[in-house]
Amino acid sequence: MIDSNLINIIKAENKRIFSIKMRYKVEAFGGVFIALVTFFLLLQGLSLTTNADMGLGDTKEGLYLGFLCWLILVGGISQIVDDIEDNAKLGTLESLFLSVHSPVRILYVRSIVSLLWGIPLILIFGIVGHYVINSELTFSSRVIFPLVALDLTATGFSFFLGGLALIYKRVQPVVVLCQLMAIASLFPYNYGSFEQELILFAPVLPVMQSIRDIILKAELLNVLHLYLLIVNGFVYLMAGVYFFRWAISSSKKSGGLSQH
Amino acid sequence: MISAFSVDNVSKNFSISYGEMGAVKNISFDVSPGSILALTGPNGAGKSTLIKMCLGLITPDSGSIYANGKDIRSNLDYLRMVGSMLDGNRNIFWRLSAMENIEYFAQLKGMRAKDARVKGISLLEKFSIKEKMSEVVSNLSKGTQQKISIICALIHNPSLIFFDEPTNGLDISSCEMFMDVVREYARNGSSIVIVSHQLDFVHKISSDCINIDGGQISYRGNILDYLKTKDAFYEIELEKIISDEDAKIISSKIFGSIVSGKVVVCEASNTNLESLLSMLQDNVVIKVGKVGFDNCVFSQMENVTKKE
Repeated sequence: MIDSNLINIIKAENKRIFSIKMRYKVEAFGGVFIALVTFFLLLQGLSLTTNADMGLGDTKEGLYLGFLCWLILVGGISQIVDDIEDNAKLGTLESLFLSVHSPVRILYVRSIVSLLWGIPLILIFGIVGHYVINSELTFSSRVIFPLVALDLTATGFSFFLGGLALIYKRVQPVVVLCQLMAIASLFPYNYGSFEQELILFAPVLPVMQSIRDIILKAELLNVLHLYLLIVNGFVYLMAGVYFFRWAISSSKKSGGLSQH
Repeated sequence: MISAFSVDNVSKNFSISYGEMGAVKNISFDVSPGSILALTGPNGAGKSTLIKMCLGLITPDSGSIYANGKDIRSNLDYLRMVGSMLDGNRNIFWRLSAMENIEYFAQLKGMRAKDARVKGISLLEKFSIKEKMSEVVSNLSKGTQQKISIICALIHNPSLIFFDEPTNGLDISSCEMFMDVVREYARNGSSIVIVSHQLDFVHKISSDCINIDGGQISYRGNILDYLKTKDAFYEIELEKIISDEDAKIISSKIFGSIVSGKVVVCEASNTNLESLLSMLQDNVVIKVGKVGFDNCVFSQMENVTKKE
């Protein structure tokens, strides 16, 4: 799985993304900074003017946790599709399909490298926010499982949207719709026992429930359940990649691969 | 001997609002190792579609494309051996520096960054832009961006190279540099296919030219011989109006006329372009030259200044 070619492309993408982030720092870090500052200001405003009955656990911790998860989710969902649309505008889209590395590998590596660059930033603001709102969240190491599953699912959706972008060119309205629908996954639903089994097949819902259980309720979920979350994320990732590959083939047949 | 590259009866139709359009119709040609093939033709002839099929970016509706005897769709090494420059200076990252682009595209082709850097410096020197290697591409001139794009196509020593309008934005000396580099790659065994509208450039770079019109090959051979089969003309605008005496001298030497003392028009079939330009340069400054036929100008020569 890990060969010298993969290491080579990881180094190449890391250097490319690093060069761009260092050269355009405000654009690179400003977005997350503005989103988080806006969130905290809104939260402070809500605390002052309303009672905390906003769903998401009815607590400010729930809101805060939901916002961080939503940030990770929408970042993951839009990463690949934004990459494809940006490259199409630049004229560098064809280079993805003329490389010795598969376009899926290149895009997934870009997604992982971008996530790795984003994690320290989200962690810093997460820790700052934790003290600003004086929250009582508990962070167990087991939360890594659902977070990995969250990223896998988000990447799967991103590949799916990327495939749509290859075929239909402009899909930002669909991306925005997905980002808004992601908010619905943050609400704490009350499931019956049968529904609990059923949601294991759904995207994001079981992951968000597990994150809430671990961080908000300090529950220790069993390891089998955590591994099933990873499988869930992996299945949606593979589905997205499968659709993306089909979209490449379809675009090549229609001649639309470079018509952006 | 197996051709380095072979296109076998490929066709491609596109669905458009009012039906289907045949962009490429039953085209076949071979390119030998170490040779340079030029593709010419009017806008919309199907040249770019053909090149993209050769690169695997568009799937042909019928026919096959082979590299070293293997179908490119099943040839795992094909993308490693091929280099390309499409869309001119648009296919590089404008937010990266010249060398960052070169290293990145080399790594996409499986090269190590260290090797790419060494080779990149060598190519930057050949194009006389080594001093620009750390500059961000968006700050560079169009011609320099074009050169970087060319270098990115050549960096991994491809054995098969496709260029689509490589000389757009390049001045005459840069065109000469490009031709020198391309000839060097051809001498080393690479097969090169160049799409260009500039017939004087085509004439200099290759004696093997395919003209595509309406999705089909209308001619294969030397470009000047092709022009002789059409009612081609040369139209060369001079920098300033020449005297009646000079006009008489020039007119007596060409199959054509001088219009308004400033524009030389002559039949291509009866004119040796190089001799004509040489004669004109001895006497006057040439501002711009156009070559075309059937009242349709499809090529434009670079500005040619008077010889010192």
